[in-house]
Amino acid sequence: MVTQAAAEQPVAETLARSRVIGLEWLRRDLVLRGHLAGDVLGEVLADVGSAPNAQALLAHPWTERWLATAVRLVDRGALEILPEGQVAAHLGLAVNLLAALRIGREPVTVRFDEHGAAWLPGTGAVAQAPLVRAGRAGHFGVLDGGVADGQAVRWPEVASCVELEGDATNPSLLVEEPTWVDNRSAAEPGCDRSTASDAVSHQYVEPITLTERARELIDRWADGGGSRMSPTIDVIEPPTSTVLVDFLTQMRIPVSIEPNQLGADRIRQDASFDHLSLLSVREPGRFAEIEDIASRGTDILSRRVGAHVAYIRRRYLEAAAIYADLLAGRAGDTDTWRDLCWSLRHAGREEVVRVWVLHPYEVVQVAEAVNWMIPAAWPQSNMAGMPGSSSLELIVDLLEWIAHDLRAR
Amino acid sequence: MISVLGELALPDLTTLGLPDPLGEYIAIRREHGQVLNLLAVIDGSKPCLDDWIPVAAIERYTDLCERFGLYVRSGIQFDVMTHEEAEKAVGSGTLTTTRARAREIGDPRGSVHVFVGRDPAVVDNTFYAGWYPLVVGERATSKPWIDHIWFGEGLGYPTCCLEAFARNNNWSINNMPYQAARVTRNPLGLCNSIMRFTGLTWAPHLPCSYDCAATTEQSRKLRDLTLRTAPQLVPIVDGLCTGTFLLLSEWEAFALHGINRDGDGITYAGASLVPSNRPNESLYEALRCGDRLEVRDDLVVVFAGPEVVRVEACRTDGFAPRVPVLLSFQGPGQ
Repeated sequence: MVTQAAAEQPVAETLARSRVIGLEWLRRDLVLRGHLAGDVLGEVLADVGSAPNAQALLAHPWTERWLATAVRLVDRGALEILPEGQVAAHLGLAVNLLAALRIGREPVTVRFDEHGAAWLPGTGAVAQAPLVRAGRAGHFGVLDGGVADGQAVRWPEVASCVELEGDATNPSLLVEEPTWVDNRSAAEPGCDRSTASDAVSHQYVEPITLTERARELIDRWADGGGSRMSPTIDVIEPPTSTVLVDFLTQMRIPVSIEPNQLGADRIRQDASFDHLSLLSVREPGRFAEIEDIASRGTDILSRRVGAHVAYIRRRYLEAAAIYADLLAGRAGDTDTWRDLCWSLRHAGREEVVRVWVLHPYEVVQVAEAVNWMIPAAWPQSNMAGMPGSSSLELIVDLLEWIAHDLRAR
Repeated sequence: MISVLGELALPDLTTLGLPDPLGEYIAIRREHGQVLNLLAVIDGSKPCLDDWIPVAAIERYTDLCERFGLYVRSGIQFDVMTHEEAEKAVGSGTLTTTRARAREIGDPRGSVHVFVGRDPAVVDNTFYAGWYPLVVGERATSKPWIDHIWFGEGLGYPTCCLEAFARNNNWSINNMPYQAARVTRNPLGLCNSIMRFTGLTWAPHLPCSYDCAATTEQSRKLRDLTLRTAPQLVPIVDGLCTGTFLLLSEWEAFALHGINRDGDGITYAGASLVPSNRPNESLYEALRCGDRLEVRDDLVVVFAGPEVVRVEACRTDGFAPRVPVLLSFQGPGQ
């Protein structure tokens, strides 16, 4: 018969191995960056091979959380961007891992967190200091020869081997049996909200039902002689420019851009526009290279990037014409609507696009449901100065028609 | 947006007898608004400003501007939302310093977003780039990132500060005030915009550093102009820009009064809460109860005598990272 403890052993070993890999990855990264915590982790990993309580330390939730936070800080570039504050404090807590492996055997140093606690994962103990020592270091000596070689360092035995700071009758530090409480708060400013939002972003997007106002607009469009036929255009798109994809990928600019839609839980899917904007300020030479490569392609990605580049270069009508062509194939893509409308806004047509800004649901739903050739009774708008883009002319007319119709109600 | 709380609570500017157009502007705006920026725009030393004018007062405001030869472009109306309302909107994380719903011009609710300057072309271009991430239909709106830079250019911000904005103003992973503090050697009140939501700081923008030469020059000119035209304001603005500040992020900052450096920390006699749309009121209360603080990496430890009354842990591994720093700003005369 296999006991529960025996059954759990392989799981604990697998977990321990995985955590060792995580710690080693972090150590290498910290050493590459010249961070002292890399040396501390080196000592931790050297001890892990022989310390009797190593597996318990590696499996402890404090270790898991510490490692996850450290990795997150590295991944976010926080060591370079925000090296003080939490980065210094959190990586400073690495000494507690070492202390947990050595306490009761040799003198150790710990660091107290904001609650005055220094967790000693895997020992079953926590060193508790008064709050006045939050963020400070503490030191423990060894009493009575310490823990025997090969014996696991465990609460409560460890307490008798630890020399506490302060007066023997009134120690400033205690070693206690802890209660693990996961007190992370997602609502607090400065807390990580990306995990929550990422989880949400993969949820199924409920299709938005036609708003009452959009339904009325579509009916009136048809009553005026307009066609309800959707503007879908079947065209054979050329293959995506691999040169552009390679260059954008090298610059860490997204190349796979899904259309955004009303009801989605993100206000923007296409992050490439903002990446290109940043690049134009930070690395104008690279930006010019992308401009050149994109200008040679006729595929969707090249045209989209070309439109973004034209906007950033303040060639707004050129950008608007490309966005309008893209919308002709994806009338529900709210990102492209935003980009088109902002191009027209800068081109001096703010009054035309205001209807999209204030009534995006109606505009997008009508645009998806009708042929953009406006009803015969509607006077054509003055598109003087616009380049010859029939898609752009049609969209401006559509926007004007909707704005006029909404004003008239 | 709450006002300044604590020792630096602002006086009622309507009692100062400010000359026109500032006196009338304060009467219209009912808050401090953009009183210094208006002075600079009328002077021509600032190309454009943007402001929020109550709907009922927009005609009076427009008349006032036109009397001084200024061109006004009205955009959209801002209808301020509560924090709780704003949090429900899709993309609420982008609502960093303004939380409002967009309303059409003419709607009885909210305030009109106006852009004002001498040159209509400059005002128009600033207006086009000056969109705020307002909520429409329960979704936050956005503008292309490059518009932030163009908006800053329109408002006359120094190029070095706009470049720093391009590098650092990423609320997901960075903290622009911290970056400014990090490269500052000698904090100057002329560059201290921590209290900028009062409209009463010499620098209206986030500077690249708190001793930025270009910002210092601009602010010096504005202070000289104010000394000539509205000297009553000068001690008020100097008071808001000098002294010691505990700075955590764009949302969270505190002015400390009567300070003394004390080993690892400082003792203080009083504290003021810097206005923002997400101020840390509980830390402010702790600071008011306390008399000494220490910054220990990510922690702000507040003492009342020997007792710790608060330990504030400032995380940087999520949205709007916080890093606590203490900065002491020299006054313009020092």
